[in-house]
Parts: sequence; structure tokens; C-alpha cells
Amino acid sequence: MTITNLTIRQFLKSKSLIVVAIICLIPLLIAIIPHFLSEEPSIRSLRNSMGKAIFLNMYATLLIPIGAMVLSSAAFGDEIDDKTLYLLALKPISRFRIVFEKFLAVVAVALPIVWGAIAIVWTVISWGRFDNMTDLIWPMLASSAVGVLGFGSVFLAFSLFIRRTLIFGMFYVTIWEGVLANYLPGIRSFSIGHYTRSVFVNLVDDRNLVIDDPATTARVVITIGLITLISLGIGTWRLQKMAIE
Amino acid sequence: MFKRKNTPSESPVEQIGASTDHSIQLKEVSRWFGDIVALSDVSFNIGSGVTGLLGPNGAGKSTALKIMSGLLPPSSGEALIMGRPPRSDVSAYRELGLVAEHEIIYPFLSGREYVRLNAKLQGLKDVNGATERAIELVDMADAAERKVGGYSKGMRQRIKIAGALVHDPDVILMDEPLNGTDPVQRAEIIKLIRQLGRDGKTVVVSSHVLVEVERFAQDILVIINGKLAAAGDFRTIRDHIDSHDHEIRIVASDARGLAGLLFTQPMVSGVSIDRQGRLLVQTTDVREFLRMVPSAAKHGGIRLLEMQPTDDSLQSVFSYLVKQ
Repeated sequence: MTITNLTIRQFLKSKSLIVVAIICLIPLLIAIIPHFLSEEPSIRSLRNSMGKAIFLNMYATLLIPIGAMVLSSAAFGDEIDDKTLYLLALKPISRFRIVFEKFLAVVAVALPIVWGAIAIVWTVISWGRFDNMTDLIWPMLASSAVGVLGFGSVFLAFSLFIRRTLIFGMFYVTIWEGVLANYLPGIRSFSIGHYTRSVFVNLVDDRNLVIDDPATTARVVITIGLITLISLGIGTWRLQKMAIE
Repeated sequence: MFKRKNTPSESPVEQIGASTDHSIQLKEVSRWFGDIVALSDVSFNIGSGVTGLLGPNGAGKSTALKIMSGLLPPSSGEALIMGRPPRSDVSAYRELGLVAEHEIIYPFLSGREYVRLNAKLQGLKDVNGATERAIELVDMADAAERKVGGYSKGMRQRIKIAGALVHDPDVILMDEPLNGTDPVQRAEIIKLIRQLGRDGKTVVVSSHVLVEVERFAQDILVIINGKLAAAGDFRTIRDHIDSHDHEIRIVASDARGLAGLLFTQPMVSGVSIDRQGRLLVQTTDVREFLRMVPSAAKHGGIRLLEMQPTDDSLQSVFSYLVKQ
């Protein structure tokens, strides 16, 4: 795990970590709103539906992909920009191991940040009414893990093809995941955000919570597993073929 | 033996270093970037000993080193390290160490952590032992706990060398390893390069400074405009070079005073001072000139701050070399 450790240390010294943490805490601005309102029953139910809406519409659709993108693009991007990638490439280790260890570092850093931010937002929304909200936290954590794995692997592979991964990634996140996957049924099968939302909906015991054409949990596990493997494979192939400065 | 290589049709494979081994092989290698040809139909075999890779800036030296090391795929042809293509057979990297020109190396690591990182990635059994040996080799034990980001340019060069040598490779490629080093560090690195050559390693050192290469290389490869212009024994090539004018740039505490002293010397054919106050001296015998200048400056009470051949001069020398 030498490359994973090295990459985690790179993240800890970079601004990427702070950027991702700030992005993942944006929903706090919405989460505090109910605390300024009266304690009527309708407001209590608003808290519950707000928790679900924040996860489905903010975390699964925008914040997890953007957070994963920032870290994934930095994992190789910083090495390419600093011209240190050759230090890893000139070693008798397989290219797959380099890509896989970089991916592990992305997951090892992204997951605690995303989970930590979700836990903080959940705590703020639930403050004083934890009993009503406990059924949300585990689905949030489980489905966010699906998002981090899927988006993390895809953006890691992208970063080996495109220098400006963030620009391309923002386009992908907003247009593909944010707009097209929500309105075009055929595209949902190719949307990691859709699988993230599906896991959440499947795990939350709420008949009123519905999304269009949710994938079964088994299908999500298989598809995200395949997406991760294919992305790592493409990243490995690219690393074998690319010119390294 | 001094050989020229003018046309692709001749394309003999130059054997540099020990004739019995082919640690590094380039077979009809070309590399282009869009319309720009960086390397054109270059073939050579390099065996043990120290080989200088010479050429002006932008001649294709770094491209050649990157192709040898497998960092850059050739557009055509093949590069082999110990008979293996490193791009497709990464086990070749057990035999290869590269000291790249880039200065940046993980600034948050200490020197010792950086060398240990290289040892771990090489899969060495005795990581700590190899790390300490490599650090000792470049005389960096006292600074090994400091962060690389706080190192001077010369210290970064030395720790990079330690990282490249930690696994005791048989083939060592160095891209301008003397850049940024002070005279003492320079002497130490040159001593180390010579020692590696004596130990039977295949060492290729790129440089654009002729007089520098003379201090460590038995053989040289000269690359100009992406083509292998000359290859063979350094002394034979140097004799050809010596008969041609060189331009040396000197920065001194009193440029005008030094100009007056140098102008009287028989090997000096011209002296001028540029807008930055630097002395530009044309000489017909560069080695005699370089021996004479320090004593002349000392005699005149003048301090020498910098002295090096200009790139223009080097280009003209190489151009001359190709014509011979």
C-alpha cells in the first residue's frame, strides 16, 4: 500500500481536501432552516422530508460526484502537473497496481469526508428529534459509498485522458447526471447518481419516497462493481500507453 | 574511434562502451511531436562504462533518455534495457535507475522517506539497509531527516540520485545531473559517476556542457537536431572540437579589468562585454583557456563568479563537428 499511503499524504498536504469538505457541508445552510421555524407538526415532517431531499437532490446528484471528482482528478493530476509520475512509473510494479492503489487512496479519503459531512448535516436536521430520523442515516451512508466508488473510479480514469478533468467533470455532473439522467429513462442505466439514489430509496422504509425506475440493490452492486473494474482497467491501459513527463 | 552518422541509409548501429554487452539498445528509433521531429532514426548500443550524451538544448537528449527509460513511446523503432522493452515489461525497471531533470520530488517527504519510498516500490527486502547505503553514497546523512521541500537545488539533485541508485541498478540514466550543484557537490557527483562506471555499471549522462562531460565520460554520443551526429571515444572527438573556436561567458567582479588581462593571452581571439556586463570571450584552445583564467583573475585581484560555454558556441561546435 505504499502508493496509497503516499497519495493520502499528498491529499493531506493539498487544498483538495478542504475544498471537498466545504462542498460536502453546503447542505448545512439548508439543514439549519427548520431550527428557525416554530415546532408545529408540519415543521417536524418537513425536517424528515428535507433530510431525504437533501440526500437525493444534493448529495447523490451533485455533491458526491463533485467531491469524488476533485480528489480523483488530483490523485494522478497532481503527479502529472508536478512531473512526479515518472517516480512511480519507473518501478517494477504493474500499472494496474498503481491505478488501484491511487483508487484506494481516493476512496480512503473521500469516504470519511462524505460520511462525516452527511453525519453533521443529519445531526443538525435531527437536533432535538433524533428518534424520527435514525432510519435515514444508514441508507445515507451506504448509498454515498456506492457514489464514491462509482464516481471515484470513473473520474480517476478520466484524469489520465484529460488534463482539465474538473471542467469536463462539471459538464458531466450537471448535464448528464443532473439533467439527462433525471428526464431520459435510457440514460438512467448509465447514471451512477441514479444507482446511488436507488440504494437510498431501497434502504429507506418509506412508501412515499419514490424515484423513477429504481434499480434493485443487487443490480446496483453488480453494476457499480463492473463500472469500477472497467474504469480501473481503462486507467491501467491508459497508463501503459501514455507518455510520462 | 570517432564515427559520423550523416544519412539514414548508412544507419550502422553504433556500439558505445564495452563491446560485449548491450545494456541499452535503441533500434531505428524516431519520435515526432506533430510536425516536429525530436529524434530521427537513431540506433546505438551502449555497454558498461560512462557515456556522455551531448547536444545543445533542444537537440533531443531528453527525448532519447525518456525513450530509453520507457517513459516515452517511440513513434517508430524499439528501445531495450538489458534486452527487455521497459514499456511492456516493467521487470526491466529492476535494472534501471533514472535521475530526471525535474527538480520537484514530493516536498512533504523527508530525504530519508523519499529514498525509502523508492526502495519499497522496488520491492527490496532490506529497505532500511538499502536506504541508508544510498543516502551515504551521496553524502546526505546529515540532512536526511529534513523535508525535501526545504532542500537546496544541489541537495535535491543528490537525494534524487540516492533514490535512483537505492536498488543498485546496472543501468543508470542521468539527465543533466550537475545542474544547480556548487563546485564541491559537482566534484562529488562526478566522482560518484566515475565510480559507477568503474563498478561496471552502464551510465548515460546527458549534458550540454562539453568540458563537464570530459571529466567523467570515456565515450560520447552527440545528438544534434534529433540525429545522432557522432559517437565514440571522447578524446578523438574532443581533438576535433578543440581545433574550433569556443565562446565562453564569464561573470566577474571586474569585467573590464578581466577583459584587459585576457586580451593579451595568445589563445584568446576576441573579447566583448554584453549589456548585462558579462564577458564573452572567443578562444581557440578552450582547455588551456579554462586553466589560465583563474590564475589571471587571481593575479588581477578579480573574483570569478561564473564561467561557462555559451549555447551559441556549443551549437557552432557541434555544427562544426558534423561537418568534419
